[in-house]
Amino acid sequence: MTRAPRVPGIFALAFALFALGGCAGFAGFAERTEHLDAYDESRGYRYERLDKTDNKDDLFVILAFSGGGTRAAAFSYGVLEALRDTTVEIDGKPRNLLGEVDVISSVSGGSFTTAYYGLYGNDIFVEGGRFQKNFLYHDVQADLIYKLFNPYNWVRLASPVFGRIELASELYQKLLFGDATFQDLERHRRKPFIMINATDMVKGSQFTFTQSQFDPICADLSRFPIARAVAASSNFPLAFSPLAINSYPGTCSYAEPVWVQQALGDLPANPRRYYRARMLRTYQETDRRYVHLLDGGVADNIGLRGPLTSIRSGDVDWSVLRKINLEEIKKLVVIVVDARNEVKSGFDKSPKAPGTLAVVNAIATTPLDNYSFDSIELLQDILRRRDDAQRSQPDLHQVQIYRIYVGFDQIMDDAEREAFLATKTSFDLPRERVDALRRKGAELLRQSACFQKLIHPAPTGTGGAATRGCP
Amino acid sequence: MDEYVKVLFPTQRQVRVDGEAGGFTNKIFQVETGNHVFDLGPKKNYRPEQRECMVKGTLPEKPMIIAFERVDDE
Repeated sequence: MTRAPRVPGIFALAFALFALGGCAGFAGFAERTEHLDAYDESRGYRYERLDKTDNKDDLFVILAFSGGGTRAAAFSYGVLEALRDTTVEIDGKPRNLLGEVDVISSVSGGSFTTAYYGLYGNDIFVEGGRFQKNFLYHDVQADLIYKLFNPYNWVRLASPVFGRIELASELYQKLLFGDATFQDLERHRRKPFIMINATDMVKGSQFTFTQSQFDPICADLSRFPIARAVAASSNFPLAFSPLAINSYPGTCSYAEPVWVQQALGDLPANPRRYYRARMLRTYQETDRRYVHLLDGGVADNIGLRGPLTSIRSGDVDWSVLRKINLEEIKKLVVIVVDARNEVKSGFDKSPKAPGTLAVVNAIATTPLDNYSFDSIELLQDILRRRDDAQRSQPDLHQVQIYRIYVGFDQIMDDAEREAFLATKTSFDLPRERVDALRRKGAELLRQSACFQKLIHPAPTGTGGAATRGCP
Repeated sequence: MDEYVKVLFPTQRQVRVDGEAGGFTNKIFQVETGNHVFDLGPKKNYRPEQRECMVKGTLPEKPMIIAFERVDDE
């Protein structure tokens, strides 16, 4: 007898929402995105506007949180807890490592942890506090389905300007983020810089909720609700309708960065840069009045693409490469928290063709996993090349590089590893599983040899490999 | 793709790459492969005003050399 195929939790939700709300699934557009009256680089949510008094750039820590529903949120939460409990010595003074984090880039499930920490800092760790009670240990999935079953919402969903994603946005507002907007992040000016990533459905590229992304479309991120950004980032295809934001290109005296014109001549030499420039140009096309956003995982399910560009290019506004060249960074730490799972289907035990839902699942998740793997490899390649270059050319600024990967496949015990890898993608996990994910995130980080090297550096003067990082 | 440049000038000062502070004169620094505009910032005591270069095929040990000449302050 063959085992019935297991349908991942998020797909059960997708099916329910799609089936129930399918006929009313117009692209959601309940709230207008504010127009940016005048482009101004000195305003808005940008890395360079954050306060660097207590967290300078010399130790530059980037976290990348993957998607994966509550599994990803809890796993990344455990990593934050471990960083909170870790002390490093900076200029002879002990400093809390979490307080040294400069950037968190995330997608989907990881974006809940990122956004909440970005907004409320250490309040995220309050036992039984809002984040734990209303999200980590809460059946968010049931709330979403309840909202869809509510006849009041059927009427709203019948409107062509109200989609299923609006229900999710409202729920996240109620549960976690209230009326908080990016202006709240601007006001407290506290690091880390949070990069909540969605996917531009039409262009298939990453779309990050930062003012520099909003500049070419002349939209003001300041009054954009955090709950909507998180909803866009975790906007799982089919389960929700795309989230639309207004675009007002050509109406704010936007000054295109100098690199764009240069990069448009780079197709033969550097196609990646050429297409980055082309992409930025498309946001300035005056007939593009809306940007429709899907789950950030569609373009990059590990939240690493933005940091990768920043590390190898001077073109982005928070370029790590420029900070290295300007000798502002002494140690660069990149921690990738990858909650990728491997749910066994059992299809290969039977000649019976897998059903449509299973096929959709495979189409939706397999490319994401492959792309994530490539991103991690690319990070390793870029950082190792830099390290090699520094060794062969002492005139280059010598930055110590630490690349730390936290993922279930690093669990040594076979049964335990399989159990974590089998954790479904869902917004409803049992309490024990959430606890286990938190513990495992912290434990895997602490077990990392590179992490240990970071927090217990070799004494100065020991020279050679001992003073190098672990790229 | 990684490229390496060294911008020569009689004194040490910041180099702008594509309009943004991107390195220092007389020190090797890394840029992305492609076309870039190099200048030395708003204090215009140098010539030429800028250099547009395709930076490609360099190595850390063999960076592209870009030279600016010092002129009297205007």
